[in-house]
Amino acid sequence: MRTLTLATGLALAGTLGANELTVYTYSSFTSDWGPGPEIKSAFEAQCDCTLNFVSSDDGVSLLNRVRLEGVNTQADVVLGVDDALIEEARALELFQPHGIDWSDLPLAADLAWSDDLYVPFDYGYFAFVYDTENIDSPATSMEELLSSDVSILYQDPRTSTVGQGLMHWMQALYGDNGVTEAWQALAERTVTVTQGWSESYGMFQEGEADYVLSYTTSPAYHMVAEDTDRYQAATFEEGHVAQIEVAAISAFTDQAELAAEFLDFLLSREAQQILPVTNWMLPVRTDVELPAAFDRLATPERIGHSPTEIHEHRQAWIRTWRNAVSQ
Amino acid sequence: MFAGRPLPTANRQWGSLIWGLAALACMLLATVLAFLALFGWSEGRPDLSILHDAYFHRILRFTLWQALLSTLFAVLLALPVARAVALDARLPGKALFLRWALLCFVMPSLILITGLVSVFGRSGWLTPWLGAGWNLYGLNGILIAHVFLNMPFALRVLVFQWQSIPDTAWKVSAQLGLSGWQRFRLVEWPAIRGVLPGVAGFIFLLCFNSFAIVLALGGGPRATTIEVAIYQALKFAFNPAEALTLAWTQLLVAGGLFLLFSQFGRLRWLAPPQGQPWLPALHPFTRALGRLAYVLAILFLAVPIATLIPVALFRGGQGLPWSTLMPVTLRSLGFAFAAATLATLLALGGLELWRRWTAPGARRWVEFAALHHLVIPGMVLSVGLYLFFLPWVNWIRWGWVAVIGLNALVALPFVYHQLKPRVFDFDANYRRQVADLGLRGWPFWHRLYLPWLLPALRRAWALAFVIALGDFAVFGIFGHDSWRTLPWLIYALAGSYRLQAAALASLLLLAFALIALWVLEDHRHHA
Repeated sequence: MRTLTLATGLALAGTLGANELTVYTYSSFTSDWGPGPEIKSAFEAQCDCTLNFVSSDDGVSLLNRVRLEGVNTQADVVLGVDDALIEEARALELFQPHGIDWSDLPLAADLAWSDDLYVPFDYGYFAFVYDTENIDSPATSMEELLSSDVSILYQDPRTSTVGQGLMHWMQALYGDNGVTEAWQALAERTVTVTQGWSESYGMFQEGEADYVLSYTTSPAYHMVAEDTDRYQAATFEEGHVAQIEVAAISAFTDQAELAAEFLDFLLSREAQQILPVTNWMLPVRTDVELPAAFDRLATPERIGHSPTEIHEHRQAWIRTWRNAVSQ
Repeated sequence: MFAGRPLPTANRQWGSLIWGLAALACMLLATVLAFLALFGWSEGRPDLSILHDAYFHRILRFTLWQALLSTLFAVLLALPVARAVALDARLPGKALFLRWALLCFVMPSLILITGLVSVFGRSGWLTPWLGAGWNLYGLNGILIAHVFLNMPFALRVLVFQWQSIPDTAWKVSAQLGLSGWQRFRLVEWPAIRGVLPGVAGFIFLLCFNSFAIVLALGGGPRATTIEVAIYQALKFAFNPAEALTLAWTQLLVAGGLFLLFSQFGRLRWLAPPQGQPWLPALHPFTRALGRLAYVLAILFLAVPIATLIPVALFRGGQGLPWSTLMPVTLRSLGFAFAAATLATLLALGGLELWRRWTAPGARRWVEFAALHHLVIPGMVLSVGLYLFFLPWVNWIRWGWVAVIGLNALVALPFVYHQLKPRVFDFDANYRRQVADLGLRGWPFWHRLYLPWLLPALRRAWALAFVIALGDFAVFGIFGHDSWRTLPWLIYALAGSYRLQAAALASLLLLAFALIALWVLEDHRHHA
């Protein structure tokens, strides 16, 4: 225990003297084209503090990191864990309540949010994105995708929240009995399984595959930022799994007040206006004005397991995936 | 400042004894702690249930299978090239080729990976000619990379064997009028047969322990080795129990293989190429075949690396992450410098004990301490130490200490191997004179011992530097995104398909490896 106290003491010494907030997040959030830079300057303009981002590859690695660091963590806020992981994180007691009153906020009804630890900051639906110059008639269902002669890129469900989203999607569609076969069908069409979302999306844009696992909102990026309709998301008739991205205050922070202020800021109209056009996800507030491109996005039906069910089965589902695709 | 004032005897002896004992303790302690963790003494106990998992059987099978294929290709392809290099007197550029082969063998894997992706990847320039079904990711890429890295090793050993056939054997076979085939069977085959099991075994072991290549070119769970699975269990799923079981598997198989193959004796691959006064006449047909093999080998070993230059410079210097590259490069150089220096100090410390303790039993202990890290895969040692210290150490902050220390231990056997014969010669030749002169302490080191060791020290240090510079596995366990080294930056860049930037970073890494190896080779004539 003495070593722990000493380490905490050192950690505290590092943050003394400056009003600093350290936010752990995933790497595409902090990249030059991601929301990081704008969120930082907007929050710093109102908080009289310095906001530091520390990034991990993807959402799952993020949680692993916080878990590994435990009481020694430098994080005041963890941003970018998704709803599939929140029960696991809750069980590990890594976070503390934020004290936000949900009744005051115009939150999107789809979210039905009332959690005391986690603050949703954006959401989206997983979808396979394709290049209209390669694919004339995109798949309209997972079944069709898995039986067609195409090449696919997706992310490792052990490291990436997007890959994990696909795992939940496959489980929701095929159940324990049929999912192995479905994974194997996917494996035959897989170019490679990347660790994070950025790698696979980069490869896709270089023409390495016909489809890449991403979000229904990804085409908005190409429409708004690149002024092209070339990339589109395939809508599946079976329905899509949603991802709600959340932020939470570390249980071990010494900046709980500032951290809560930051979470409030994430829910503000200002931040909600920034996120859709930098992180390319849907805002959690309903009173945000979005570029016209967002009206042209697919609005799929939402399916999937609850966070509690996911927490119970996640390890078993990962083993199933690992076994199926390593054959 | 000590030069004019001889130190008291006891003081001098204590100094080098303490140094030696400290080095010995470092070498052994790392292993002992790693083993304590493997036995479940610290974070997590081995989870044996995975031994019944079909996934485990598949990766074990794949690990062995890819190692077997890589070994076969590497050795079979090396044979005709080595013969041509050794026996064809008029082959141009042999010396340069052999130097390049040495570089290929110690080439940091990430340089090669970037090169292979540029040539054979989905948008590689050769890919359109490879047919529709071509896919670099998976067994294809793993085999190409392993043959690239290991064929040059087999080649150097075999060239040396062919060159070591004495003139008289050739002359006698010419006088007897032996046909080409008879000569091969009676003169050449006996000379190379002896080293083949050792060469093949060593290559098999290297491919069995392959990490970077498989992680980058494996293309997902279908092509995974145990080494990669250990990394994934720890870093992806944070499952120490599974990582421990896999580490045991890796240790037992790799250790067993090493003990088996080390029976075949020591291989000479760092030895300089020999000049040969008398070479046999070759049949025009086999000579032509040999030359063809030589040209193909040059192409195979040059193209994936040469291709980096146009790829890196294609779009000029714009949009390159110079601001990221600089600190990462400096960090990598700093780590490699520290690790190489530490490895050299450890080896010298061990050798101090070796010089001091003349009893065979004591010497065996020193040898064991310095060399046993060859048998224990770096990944196993890393995982063990990582888990052992996990409850007390924040690795994200202190991982760099482990990266330096473990890279020093990984390089230590090579450094020790390079230094020991030189130290042995020194004692054999000068021990008595040194005693008569009464030279000891700093003057002894400064005036006599270090100058004598210098060529070997340079060579050993440079080798350790290149090994540490290319490190991927140790950093994989202890490292973090926020303080990447050059190989991991290349991995991230190539992974997100920023090939130009990856190529540039690879060229930087290559340049530093070349400089270090230039030091290594340039002083060979002193050895």
